[in-house]
Amino acid sequence: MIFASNTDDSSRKSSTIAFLHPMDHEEPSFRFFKNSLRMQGSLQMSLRRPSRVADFSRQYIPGDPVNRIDWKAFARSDQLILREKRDEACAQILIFIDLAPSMFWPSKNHIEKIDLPPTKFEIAVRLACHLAVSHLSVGDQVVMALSQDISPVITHEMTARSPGDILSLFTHLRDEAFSSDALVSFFSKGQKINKKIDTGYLISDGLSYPIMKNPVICANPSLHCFLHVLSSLETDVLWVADDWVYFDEYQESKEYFGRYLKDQNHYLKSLFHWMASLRVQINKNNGWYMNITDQTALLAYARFLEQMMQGGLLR
Amino acid sequence: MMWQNLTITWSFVTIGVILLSFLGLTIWWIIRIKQKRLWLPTLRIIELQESRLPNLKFRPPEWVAFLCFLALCAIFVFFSMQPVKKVVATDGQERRRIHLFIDLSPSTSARLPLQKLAQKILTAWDSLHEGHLTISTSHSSDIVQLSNREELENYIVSIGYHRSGVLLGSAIKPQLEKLGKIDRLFIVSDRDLYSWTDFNWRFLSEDMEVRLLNLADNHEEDFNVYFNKASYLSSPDAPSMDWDIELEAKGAYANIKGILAVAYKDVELAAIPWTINEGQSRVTVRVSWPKTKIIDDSKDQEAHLIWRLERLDDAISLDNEMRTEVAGLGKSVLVVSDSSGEQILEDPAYQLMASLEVLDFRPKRFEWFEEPLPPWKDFPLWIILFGKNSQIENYCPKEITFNRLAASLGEQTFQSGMPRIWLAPKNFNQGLRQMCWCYHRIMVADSANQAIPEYCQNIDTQKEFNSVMRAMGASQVGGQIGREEEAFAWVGVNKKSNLEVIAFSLPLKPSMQTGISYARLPILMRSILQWQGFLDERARRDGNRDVWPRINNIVDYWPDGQRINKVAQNLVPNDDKKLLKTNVPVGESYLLKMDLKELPPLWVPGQLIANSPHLPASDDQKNPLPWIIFCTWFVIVILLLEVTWFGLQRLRSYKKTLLMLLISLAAFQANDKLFAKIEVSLLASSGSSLSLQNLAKDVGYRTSLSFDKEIKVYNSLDEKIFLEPWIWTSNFAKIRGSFQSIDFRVANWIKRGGFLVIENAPELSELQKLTKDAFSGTSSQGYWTAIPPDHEIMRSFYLLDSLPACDQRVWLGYMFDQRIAMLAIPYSLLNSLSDQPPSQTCMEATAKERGVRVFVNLLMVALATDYKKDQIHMREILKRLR
Repeated sequence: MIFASNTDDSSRKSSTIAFLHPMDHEEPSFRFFKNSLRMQGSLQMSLRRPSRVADFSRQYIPGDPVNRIDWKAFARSDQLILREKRDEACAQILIFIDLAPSMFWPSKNHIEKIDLPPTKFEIAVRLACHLAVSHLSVGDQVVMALSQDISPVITHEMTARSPGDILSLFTHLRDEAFSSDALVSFFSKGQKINKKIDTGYLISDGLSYPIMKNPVICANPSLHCFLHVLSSLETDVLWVADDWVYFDEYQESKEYFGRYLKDQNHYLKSLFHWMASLRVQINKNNGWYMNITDQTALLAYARFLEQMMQGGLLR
Repeated sequence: MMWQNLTITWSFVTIGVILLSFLGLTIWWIIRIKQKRLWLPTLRIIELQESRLPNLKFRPPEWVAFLCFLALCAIFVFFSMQPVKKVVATDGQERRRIHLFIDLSPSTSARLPLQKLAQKILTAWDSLHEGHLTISTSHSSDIVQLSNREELENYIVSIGYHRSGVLLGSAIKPQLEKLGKIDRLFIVSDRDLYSWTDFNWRFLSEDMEVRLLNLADNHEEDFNVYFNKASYLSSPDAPSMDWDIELEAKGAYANIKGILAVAYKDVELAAIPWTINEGQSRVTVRVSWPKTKIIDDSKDQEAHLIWRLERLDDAISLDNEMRTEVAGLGKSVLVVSDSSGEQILEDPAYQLMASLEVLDFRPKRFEWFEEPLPPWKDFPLWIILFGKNSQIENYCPKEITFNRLAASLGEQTFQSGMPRIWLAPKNFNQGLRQMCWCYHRIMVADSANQAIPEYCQNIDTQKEFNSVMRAMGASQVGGQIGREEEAFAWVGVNKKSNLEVIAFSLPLKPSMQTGISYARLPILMRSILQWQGFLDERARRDGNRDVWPRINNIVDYWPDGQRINKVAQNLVPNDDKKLLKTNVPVGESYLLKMDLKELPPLWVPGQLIANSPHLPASDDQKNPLPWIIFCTWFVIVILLLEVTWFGLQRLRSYKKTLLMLLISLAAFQANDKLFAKIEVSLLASSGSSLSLQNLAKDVGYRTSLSFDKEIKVYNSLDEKIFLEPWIWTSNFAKIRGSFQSIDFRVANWIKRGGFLVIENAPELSELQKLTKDAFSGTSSQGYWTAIPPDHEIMRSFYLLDSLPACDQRVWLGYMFDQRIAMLAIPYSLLNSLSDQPPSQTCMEATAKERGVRVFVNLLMVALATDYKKDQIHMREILKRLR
């Protein structure tokens, strides 16, 4: 076992992500799937089918079926309007979990604190399992991938067959105190995602390398979402002791006294600036960004997914 | 080494090392307490500017190196200490290495006859002989170990006092080095200030116990008279020998009386009474005797005048006798010359001998040499005069040649030493031939029987003689350097045989012809004799020759004896003549005493050694130097290993860069053609060859551009030619493709930026056909035009008025893409500028200079187009113009 997470649930609020369960369906977003007249999956097919019960209309192009012309509209506006309906298909979903060492922060190895929040890795696993179950349950094909290095290379992958598989994976992980070895044991070694990815989820703390180099983004899916997982200890420095020194393991020159981090919100300003720049980068690439900590409310997460489904997945 | 025996002193080095080690440890500890550190991963991304921690960070030390550091600190501290205080040790058996040094200098002999001295030493022997006892004296560096009293007594009596002075420090040092480790040093000596000067016995007392057996305890109220100065006064021609002898008295005295007697070869010459009154410290006694009293046969070199102070009872009797050389006798000189007549004026050697006598020499005259030759050492100088008919065999002895040859070969010589030889003509320009032959025989010839050399046969004048002497390698004496005709004499030296020959080119007699007057001859002789070392001019001038040598420190004359003799009889004092002849140095006669406080503790024979306090511990000192050197090397090796290791680790991170650097260096080394040069690429039919050596020189000289004299010739439009920046061609057909249009590859090349020079260009219409279609589709339309007078070709380097036309045809340029892309020259410019220009070219009418200028301009345009358009330098140009 490389890293072990803290699974002490006593300090957690049940309404936060720290309690997210794969089968958690409180969120309303997936009603859209049920209510829609899709055939299968969450992906809108690129081939559009003329339909009387149309989703939208467009100008007639020579060659379109004449019987689908909205003659009433033509009578009204002297415009040849064609009504169309888009079909849906099973989407290829890639869920990527970053296993860089910083994802296993905080642990007892790092901070001698009694009530530690869950590690970023645990949150990432909870999110990944939840997303996988959600998509599998609406008929999508889900591939999960891992990167154990701090370089943007996928080292392990796993094709999720059913929500039951994911559930057993999650249960096993929880029993194993969310250790990385337990997770990796479910995966097979692989470095290439051969299928065309429609939707990619990237769950990481974004610290290992520039986010745009991430294999999920590089696979160029039609939609991608960056779930930026940070620990609540990273988004808030009130816990920091003034006379202690805080450093970064990979850049030896970066060392600061705790009092300086707190002073004039130096740390928080820089952190928010960084998160904002990440958001801008992702959005520019037509992606979705959400910052998630162990303190993030489940409701907020659900709302984010809902927005994304409305605006992205079923666009 | 016993720890309890070691008392240490704190030197600066020790304190420095300790402080530095503590500093190192403190820094280490300070850094260690900074370990309240926590990893916060997000700091990696966050950019915080100020107030970082100082660059102190904890790093676990490399344990091996750190332990080495600690060990080394301890070692340095330990070995930089020195034991300074001796711990009193009991007198065990191991403390029995005792050495007895006996001072036998003249001052010791004051009122102490040799027998008394021997008795005193025997008393000391009785107290000491149970240990390992060695004995040495100031006579030599030899150390003896004697088995019984008789041997010791005989030994002391046999060697006796010496007349030389001694400095105890320099005498004892080499003996102690020979002895090695000893525990006690007993010095048998008086308190003489001179002997104890510069003897730092306290240094020795760190290693051993040093005690003094004082011999001068009863003579506090004594006096001593000694010779202070002796001066010879008489002139060479005086009938008597006069000396002034200065006597000096030291100590306490009332009136001292005595007789000064002088003897030569046991014959008393004079005896003069003298008195030194109270309050008077010295007296000068004039001693005279007729010269005839000294009969000198010059054979006994060891004979001296012996001066004695008789009927005197002073402290030191050794200095009552003084030896001096016999002054006023003069050196013998051998003059070999046949007499030309009985009259003074007729004899050429008469004045020479008179001059020698004036100079205090005793000349002896031979008519010629006869077997056997006189002993050489009796006559240090031979003067041989050559006449017109002198027979060489009678005047130039072969033995000299034999001796020289034998000495050169390192063989046994006939007689030891060599006389100085003067060769001189009797009269002006006479006997020079024989002199030349003799010089050749003595100094040059391989055999004594050689005939007269050819170059000597024709000598008739002094000038000829001079030139031949110079040719024989002799050095010029007199006259200006390099002007041999002015030479007065020639000197030749053979260092191996110590032979020195002077050949005079002028007769050594007063003569109007040579300008040597009666007065100048002795002066001249004196100069030469002085130069050759026969006369000590300073001694003559002062009238106080150092006729009585004194040896101040006998150690300077010690033979380097390395043995320890078991038998006393084998040890006789060094009988070097100088030691015997020496006089007692003044310092020994002064009777000045050293203060007892400055001397080692006194020891009375019979005193038990066991009662001696403060004996040094025997083995309490070890030289730390080897250990410090070892530790230093250890540190250096560790440092080197550490530096190498970290250096390699560093270099590993630059592996790629280093590899690239190495490859590029290797490439740079392997290829010596990595420099820029300009060459002409000529598209021509096969077989054409042009040499542009002169043009390349011209271009290089004028523009400092490296222009290659070789032309790159292409026979067809292959791929390589389109890699060239410019192409010259005089073969119009080669660049023409289908339909009289330019080859499309050439067109493309021009569009890419190529510059085409067409020589022997056809008519304008042909050229227009050439470019009509090829460049029509491009955005910038090209056109042919005559080169205008303000074109860059006319002013890129030289300012040209016009370009040379040929057969009424002018230079045409194809303007394309805002530049000149093609140039059509009505004749062959390259041909006309080549090393062998053809006879019929248009350039004939014009000067070649103009062609070169045009070419240079063209080269500039090809290289930099219209670089003068570039106005980046405008500001500087305007500034310069203002």
